[in-house]
Amino acid sequence: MTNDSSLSRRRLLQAAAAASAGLAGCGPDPHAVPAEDIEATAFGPLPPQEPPLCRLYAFFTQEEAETVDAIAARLVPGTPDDPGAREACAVTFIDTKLAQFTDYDQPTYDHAPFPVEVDDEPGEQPGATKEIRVNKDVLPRHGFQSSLDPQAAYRNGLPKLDEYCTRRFGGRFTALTERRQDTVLEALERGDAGFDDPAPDDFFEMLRDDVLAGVFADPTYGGNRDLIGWRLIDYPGPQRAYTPRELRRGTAKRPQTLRDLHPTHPGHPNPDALHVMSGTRQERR
Amino acid sequence: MAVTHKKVDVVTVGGGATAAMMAAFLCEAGHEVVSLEQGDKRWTYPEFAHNHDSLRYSQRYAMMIDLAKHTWTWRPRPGMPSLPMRQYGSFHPGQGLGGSMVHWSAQLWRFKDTDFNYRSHHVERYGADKLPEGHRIRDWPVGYGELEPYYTRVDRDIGSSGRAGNLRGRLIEGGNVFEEPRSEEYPNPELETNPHGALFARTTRDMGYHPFTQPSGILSRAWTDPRGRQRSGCLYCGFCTRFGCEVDAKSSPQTTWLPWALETGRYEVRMNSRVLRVETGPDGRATGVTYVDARGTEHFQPAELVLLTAFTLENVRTLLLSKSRAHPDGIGNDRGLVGKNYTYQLFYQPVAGIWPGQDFNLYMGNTSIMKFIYDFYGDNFDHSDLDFVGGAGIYSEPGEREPLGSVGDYATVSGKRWGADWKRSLSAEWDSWAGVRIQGESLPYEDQFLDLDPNYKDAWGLPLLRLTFDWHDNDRKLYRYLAQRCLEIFKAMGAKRTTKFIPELPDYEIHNYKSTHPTGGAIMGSDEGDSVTNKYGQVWDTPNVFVTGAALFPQNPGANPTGTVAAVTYMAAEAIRDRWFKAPEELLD
Repeated sequence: MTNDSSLSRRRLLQAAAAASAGLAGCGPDPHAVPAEDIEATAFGPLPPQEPPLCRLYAFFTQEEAETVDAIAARLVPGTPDDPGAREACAVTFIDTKLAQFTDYDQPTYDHAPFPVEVDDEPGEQPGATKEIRVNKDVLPRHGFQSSLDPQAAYRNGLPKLDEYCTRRFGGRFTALTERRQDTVLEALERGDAGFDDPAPDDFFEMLRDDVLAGVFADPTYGGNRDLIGWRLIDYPGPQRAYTPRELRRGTAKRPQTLRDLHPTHPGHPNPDALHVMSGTRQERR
Repeated sequence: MAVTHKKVDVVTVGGGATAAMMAAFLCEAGHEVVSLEQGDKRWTYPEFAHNHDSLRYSQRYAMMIDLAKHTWTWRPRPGMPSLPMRQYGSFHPGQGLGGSMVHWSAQLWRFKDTDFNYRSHHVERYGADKLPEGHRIRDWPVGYGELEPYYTRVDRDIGSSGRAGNLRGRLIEGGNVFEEPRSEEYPNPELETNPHGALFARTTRDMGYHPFTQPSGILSRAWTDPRGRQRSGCLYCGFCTRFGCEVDAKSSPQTTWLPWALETGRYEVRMNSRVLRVETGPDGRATGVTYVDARGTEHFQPAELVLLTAFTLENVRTLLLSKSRAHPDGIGNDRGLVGKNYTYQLFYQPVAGIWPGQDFNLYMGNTSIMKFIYDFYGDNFDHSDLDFVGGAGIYSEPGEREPLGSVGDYATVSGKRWGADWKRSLSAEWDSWAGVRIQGESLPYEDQFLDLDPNYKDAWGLPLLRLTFDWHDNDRKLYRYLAQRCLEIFKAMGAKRTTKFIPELPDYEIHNYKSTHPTGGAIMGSDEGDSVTNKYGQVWDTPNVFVTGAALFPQNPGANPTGTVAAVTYMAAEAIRDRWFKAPEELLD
């Protein structure tokens, strides 16, 4: 008994019979794959069809967005002549990501027990359900171990950042001079900002990773407007191919985005499915 | 209530590379084979047709196992608490039809004789005291000579690309002169290299070393395979590792064994089917496998023969989870050996820097365009006056550099990772920034092993596999020596600025990618008392269960496993096809 997701000769023959009936009539070509289905089987949602509008937020409040935008402008500064993360609309990339995914944008195992760092060297702790103690020098070797998803990290972290700024310099992040903003970010990077959940250095790394993605990811995801990021590093975007000569000498190809990259052989029938779907063994040339 | 299927000759746990290879051999001989794959189906057309989406595939791991459902835990040493790898780090196993060989880097090697007879070779050359304390080094029960014909058949089937360095005993410059003799030249010429590789090759040649191009499972030119399938040559597009190849230039089950198996009409792959355990009868023989479909319904697939063809770590886990009265600690574990001899690989970039004004075109290409030297691999150099054993391949900067995967690692001369100086510097240097890398071996130790985690479970309520692994002194000494050799090469290559030099091996951590080459855990051997399987992967205590893949490796050389996994699988498939079915109660010899 085969289920829908099985490949087998019998099921594909049945599909072929249905498909041929379609071909014989005036139904759609069963071998042509609509563009929106091309990546439908890969893990996770498809990229948006149109890049989201810059500065129209689905997740952030206006205030949150302004803070993230100001952070982005310090991480990758810019001017109109030499654009950076603000001009690239990195904040829209981040906002889109946080809105589009329920929590993480990558495969994440987020079950308890979560680690608690301690000074001593605890043992295995079998039966731990909520928390598990780990030596503080070993814990960084385990990588990401937070119980805070990105949405919660931003929601919690941004007000705590503003509280820190107010304590230290008398105003929220967006109210500070650029120099003081940099000082605050350096403190965050060192883990030295007097708050937790998220830890300031974890929060900094997340901000940095997200801002960089907002500058350098394909524009279809909301950032990298006008290919600001790729022009900065002279990167031509996703090309189909390079010749050996280009590999050796460089390319004159102009930058392009994913939307400019046409699929190879659109509508090309799957030769393996087609082979089996024929119902008889095809002659091999 | 479980759904019971009609009994088949063979069921495989996993629908990846070795499943497709086994199916190709066995279905053509008339056997019915069912593969149970936890992921979804995917083909060159349409799934890989437009997939140069760096964010989706490289940063969001669209082809990888869904860690939300199951992952692996790790701790450095026994007795320490273990934590799950919550997001992708050290290794990236895939899911879906074709498994990890869809998104692999296609780096294709044959292991050396001294990799196979590691223990006896080193004892003979240096004495038993040279081997590190606490080791579990073993000879493989098979050697290069026995595997050579199978390596060659794999090369012919996929059209591997390279230049022979040792053709039937004749050494050829420009190939890997340290390799064992091959009976045939590669079917296709070596791939191109980028300017960094060319610089590496010139420099190392001048230094008296023997550079060669990475041998590859990627076609260097259009080629028709032995069954008449036309495949394109590599487009050097720069979206290779972690992506499916949209033109079939990169060999995968989809390009080769899957069509052959499906053509017979006797192969079925069931998607979204998660195997929970192998079932055994009162006589200790396997009776089939229990699995769960996407809706959570339990199924039982009875079979004569059960093949564990999933990723290394999952094969070991399946053995441990397949408990019964006959096998209270799991199949193959009657002597407590499942999980032992877990090893990994030393993948590091000890030194990197800037060649100002030189563009290396690093965003083009693939991960098989590097130039390598094997002068410091394995026992290719005399260790008599050194305080360690083993070695590593040394190589140039790979291609396929994506902005998303690289800009985050960039820092200025003063170590700044953001800001105006950083931006300016990155802009000038992104494509002039490269290094020298090593790919080194990993030895097995008593305190390095796999077992079931006491705390963490998967989405089906079963314990995750726990890795206990850390670097040992031999690794540190090996790395220290190789890092100096890399620095010498790097300086001779004329970099104007060093951005990174790491002279000492960092502590093992699980969050930075190294390689998807965890190996061991169900090792092959010639002695039942010292291994889990024979050389065919046949489990000693359960003759109708075979393991495929790198779980069989007693220790891991400093080279990618897939070539050897394929050769061993071919050897095993042939033995099963020609001999096992005639005497299914017996162990193959």
